[in-house]
Amino acid sequence: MLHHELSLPVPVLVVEDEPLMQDRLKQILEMVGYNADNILFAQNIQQAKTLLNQHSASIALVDLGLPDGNGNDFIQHLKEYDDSIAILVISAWSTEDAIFTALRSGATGYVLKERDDLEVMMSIRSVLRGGAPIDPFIAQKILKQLDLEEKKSNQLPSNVNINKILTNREHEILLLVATGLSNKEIADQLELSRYTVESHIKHIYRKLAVCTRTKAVDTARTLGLLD
Amino acid sequence: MHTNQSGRHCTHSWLTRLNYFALILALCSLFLGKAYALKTDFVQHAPPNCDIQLKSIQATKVQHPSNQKNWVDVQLPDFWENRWKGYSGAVWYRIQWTQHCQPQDTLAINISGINMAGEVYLNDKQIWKDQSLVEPLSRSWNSPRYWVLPASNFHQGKNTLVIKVIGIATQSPGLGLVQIGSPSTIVQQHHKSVFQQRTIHFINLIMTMMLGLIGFLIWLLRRKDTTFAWFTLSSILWSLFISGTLITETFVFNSTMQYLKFNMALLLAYNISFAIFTWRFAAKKYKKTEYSLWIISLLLTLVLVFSPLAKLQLILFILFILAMGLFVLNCMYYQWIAFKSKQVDVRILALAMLGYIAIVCHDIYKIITHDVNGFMATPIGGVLMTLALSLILGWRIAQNITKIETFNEQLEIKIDIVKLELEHSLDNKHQLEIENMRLQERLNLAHDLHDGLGGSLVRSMALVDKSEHFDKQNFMSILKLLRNDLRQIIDSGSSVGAKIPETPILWGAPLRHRYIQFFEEMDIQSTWHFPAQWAAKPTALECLTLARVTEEALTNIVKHSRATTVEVSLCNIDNILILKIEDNGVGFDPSTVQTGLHVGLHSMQIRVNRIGGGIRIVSRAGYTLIEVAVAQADQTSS
Repeated sequence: MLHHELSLPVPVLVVEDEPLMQDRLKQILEMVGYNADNILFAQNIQQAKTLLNQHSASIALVDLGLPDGNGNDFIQHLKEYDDSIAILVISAWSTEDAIFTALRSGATGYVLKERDDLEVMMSIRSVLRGGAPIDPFIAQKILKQLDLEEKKSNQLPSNVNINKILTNREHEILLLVATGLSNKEIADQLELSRYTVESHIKHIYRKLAVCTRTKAVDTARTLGLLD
Repeated sequence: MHTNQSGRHCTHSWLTRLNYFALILALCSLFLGKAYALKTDFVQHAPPNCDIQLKSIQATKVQHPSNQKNWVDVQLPDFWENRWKGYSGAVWYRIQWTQHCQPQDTLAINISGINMAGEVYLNDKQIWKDQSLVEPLSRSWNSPRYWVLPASNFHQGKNTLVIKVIGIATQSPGLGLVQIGSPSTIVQQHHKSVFQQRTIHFINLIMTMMLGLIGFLIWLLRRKDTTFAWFTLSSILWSLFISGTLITETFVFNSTMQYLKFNMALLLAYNISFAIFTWRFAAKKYKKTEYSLWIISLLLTLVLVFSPLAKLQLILFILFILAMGLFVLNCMYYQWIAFKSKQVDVRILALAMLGYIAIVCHDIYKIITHDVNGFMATPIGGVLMTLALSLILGWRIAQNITKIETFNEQLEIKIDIVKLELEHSLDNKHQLEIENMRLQERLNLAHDLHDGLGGSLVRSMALVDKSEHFDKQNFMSILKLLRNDLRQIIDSGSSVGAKIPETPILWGAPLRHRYIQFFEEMDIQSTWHFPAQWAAKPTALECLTLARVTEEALTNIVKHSRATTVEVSLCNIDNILILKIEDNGVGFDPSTVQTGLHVGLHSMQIRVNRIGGGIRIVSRAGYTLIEVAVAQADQTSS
């Protein structure tokens, strides 16, 4: 399986303060196919920023609870540094809100530290493939928020309003994600390619990031106009 | 007989005198006109070159004046009861004078009052006559009159003015002052007399009636407060009483006596109702005193009505003393009430009543000392009352307006205070609720930890203790189980209010999402069947347990089964929730679960049993089925 992934983006920046976890992540990354040379380890945000300035990064694994700050700040910093860096949040303690915040900050995906190596590896691979892992609960949350906004401005017909923020297709995909379907299943069901589905999801993420950052319905509408 | 009579005369005269004073007081300043008259001469400013000399003023009590005997000299004003005690009937007064005037001189004659009715002759020619000279008599006692007569009516030399007076004993019968003079002087004199004898009473009457009307309207608008009803009653009584000084006929009454009795009853009733008004005004009630006053006065009135003429004077006197005594006593007592009461309006009224005491004292003193100079003060009472009442009403209005003006302010302050108190108490309550909730949450969490993690921990310890060959693999699986349990507790505890997924699809979504990635990666065909709606909503614990079982089963499949197809389904048959996980992998020996070697599934089995469900594990090469059945409480709705 591993040899299918030919050109891995380098270098990998791992921001994790716990040495044991660093070792574990190193092993997993090596299982994915990375050379130890291409993996940069930082124990805090300060180090991470220095490393980033020295070596740049193509992909980053970020822990949220860091000694000198919240990982979210670093995620935003990364996004500002280079928007194309894929960011996977490796979180120890995770509430839905924490994950949601991370995604809004610009994370590409997240995985819980406690999961088995296999699961962590799979998440890394999914990100490397350019996919956008999306959780059913994230989808549900987005849908709920849309519902709320729709109710707030119920003078407009609901469909029109939703279409302004999300396209019909995006809405459709979100509904399917919420029921737990995989991207592949969604692609099959909608008769799209898996790649198309994932690019839709990325699109939704991007909107979500802006939408929730400003937290205003008006901006959402502006975004709807931009579509 | 004679001595006897004279002895009686003494008491009689004393009584008569008192009664006489009393009546004067009661009927208000009969002397007003006479006060002037006493010191003024018969001749008033005669025209120039006109010489008038008074010769005599005489009186006689006979029916016809032709009888020249029995004329006695009198002085005007004259009250014949001093001379002819108890005489009722006609008395002739004869005034004789000589005059030497110019033929063109016109003269005027003025009589200040005839008690009660009478007729006037000048030189045997009648010049005026009252409407009624028999009972009921006309009432001329307080009506000053004058006549302007041309010179032809007078003789050069001797002239005679004869006045026939019909009087009633006990009523101070007699003749007021008679004057002669130039018309301008006499008319002027007359106007003065009219003002003092009539107008001043008329003003008093009008004022009393006005106040009575105001009181009546106040009472009408606020009938539960009887204060002004009493005031109105006393005003009406006083108005009726005081109009006795103004009327010239007795109207409905058959005789002067009847009218007198009526007037005395009025005075009595007035004094009582006025007293009650003042008490009510100070918010006082003396039930027994009030009732006894009414009863006594009623009895006295009855006695008055049926009293024989002989006893009438005594009864009138008693009644009058009683009425005035009550009045003065109340006025004094009221000073005490006002002193005790802090109310300004009560004190104003008390001040007015202090004025009343002064008025009554003044008038009584005048009567006792036979001082008929100056004026009687009683009519001032009306003015005093008007002033006091205006002040009281004005003060009350001002007070109320101020109250209304400050009402909003006070209300706002009050509301603020209440709001603050309410906020405070709500805050406390809220704080308490939060406190309770927090405690409850902690309890729940502790409970979950104990039941979930704690249970697993105890079982794992037992397992480790029991088994002799315990390798790393087993140890890892125990730790992983504990980890998964912990995760579930955290997941279920961290998302408040969303413990029961809305639909089975949403229940399965996280698991499906997690494992489908493995299955896709490993080329495992997975099928998921979840109904769109719950047939009956499971409890949170049921949801969690089923999710844990599914997680455990799917982890096993991913790790060990080498299956190529997996099927997960949840359905409800006859109120039994059935979860099935099937695969076509290599399978395992179900007996290892029972012996506890299969840590994960063994733990699941215990959990399922705890929620009252059953677990069935079928496994052989190529087919493994894990089936959980949970009987649900019958829920007819939702």
